Amino acid sequence: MTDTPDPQPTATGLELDPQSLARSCHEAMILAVLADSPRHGYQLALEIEDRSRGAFRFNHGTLYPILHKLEADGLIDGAWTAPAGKRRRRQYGLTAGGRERLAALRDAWMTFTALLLEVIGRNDP
Amino acid sequence: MSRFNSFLTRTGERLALPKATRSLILVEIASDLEGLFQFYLEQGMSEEDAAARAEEKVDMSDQALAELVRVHSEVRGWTDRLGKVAHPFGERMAMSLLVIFFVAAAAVAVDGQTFAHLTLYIWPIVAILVLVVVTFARQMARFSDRPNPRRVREQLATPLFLGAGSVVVGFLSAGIQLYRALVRMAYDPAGAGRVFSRAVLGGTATLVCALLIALVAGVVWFVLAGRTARLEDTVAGAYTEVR
Repeated sequence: MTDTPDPQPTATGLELDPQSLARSCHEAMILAVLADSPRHGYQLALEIEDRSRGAFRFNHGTLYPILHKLEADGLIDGAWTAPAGKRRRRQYGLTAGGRERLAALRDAWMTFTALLLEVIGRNDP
Repeated sequence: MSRFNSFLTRTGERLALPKATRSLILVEIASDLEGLFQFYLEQGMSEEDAAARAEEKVDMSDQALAELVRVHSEVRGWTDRLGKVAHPFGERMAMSLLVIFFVAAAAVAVDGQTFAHLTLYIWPIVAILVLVVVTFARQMARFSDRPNPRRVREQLATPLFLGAGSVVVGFLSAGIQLYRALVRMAYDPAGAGRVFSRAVLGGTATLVCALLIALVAGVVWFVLAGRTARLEDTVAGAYTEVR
């Protein structure tokens, strides 16, 4: 039986297997957008697409598991809003725990990108 | 009727989750679909194209659906699932019969003298009873305060753990009483009978009270689980009716 070791956080504070990196990246983007103001799910995806100038195109379907996990972990808080004459919508906002998590993720990604640039930016063409 | 009904029905059929949880997810998806639809309309698309584009954007892959089910299965622990199982009529009847049986058995076993035999270990058990009552009151207060349906199951398992704690303390008390009696009997064989009977009386009286309080905790949990499930269904139903 083969035994796959669990991904361990590195000096960057991030787990470097592709799945964990993707999850951490999604989490950081969502928390960062919510840090500005509470938003609905579809607004989140559009905002991320807009901020990244179209580079990060979220399929909204992939957003729900991430949002619901963040909510279950207490990092964001969902509430139903009902604007007058409009359909009720679920709006998400950042919690205190979410702000702390965002700060930690920012540090981790800053370190990660700085180290990555150290490696790939040495040799000018 | 919503223009996205068939899409939502298809998505709902792929979500292997309890009805209330599934309904809340579908309502969220429906509201996002409408939001995206409006957004694409404002971008100049026709209604048909905007609806198709919104569905395409919100469509969930099998992997995303599996992940969503996993997230909600994690949130709903084994006690929650047990709470759902306790809903059918047969289960409620079985629970009621069990309670009646235990109360009748306790009525026969417990009288005024039982309390005279209780040991000091009754105090942690009384503390557990107080915690059960406080938990019950807090949860009932939360129900009346428009709780977040996704978080209403938090602390639902507390009465069960308190009940388990009461059982553990009860058996521990009986065990310790018996051990101490045996030690004393070894050094004082003449008074063995009296020491032994006092230990057994104290241990069993405390154990009976511990078991009764565990039963109370179980009933409290059963009631709260039922209320929670009904609240989720009501909320889900109310949101699903929105068009």
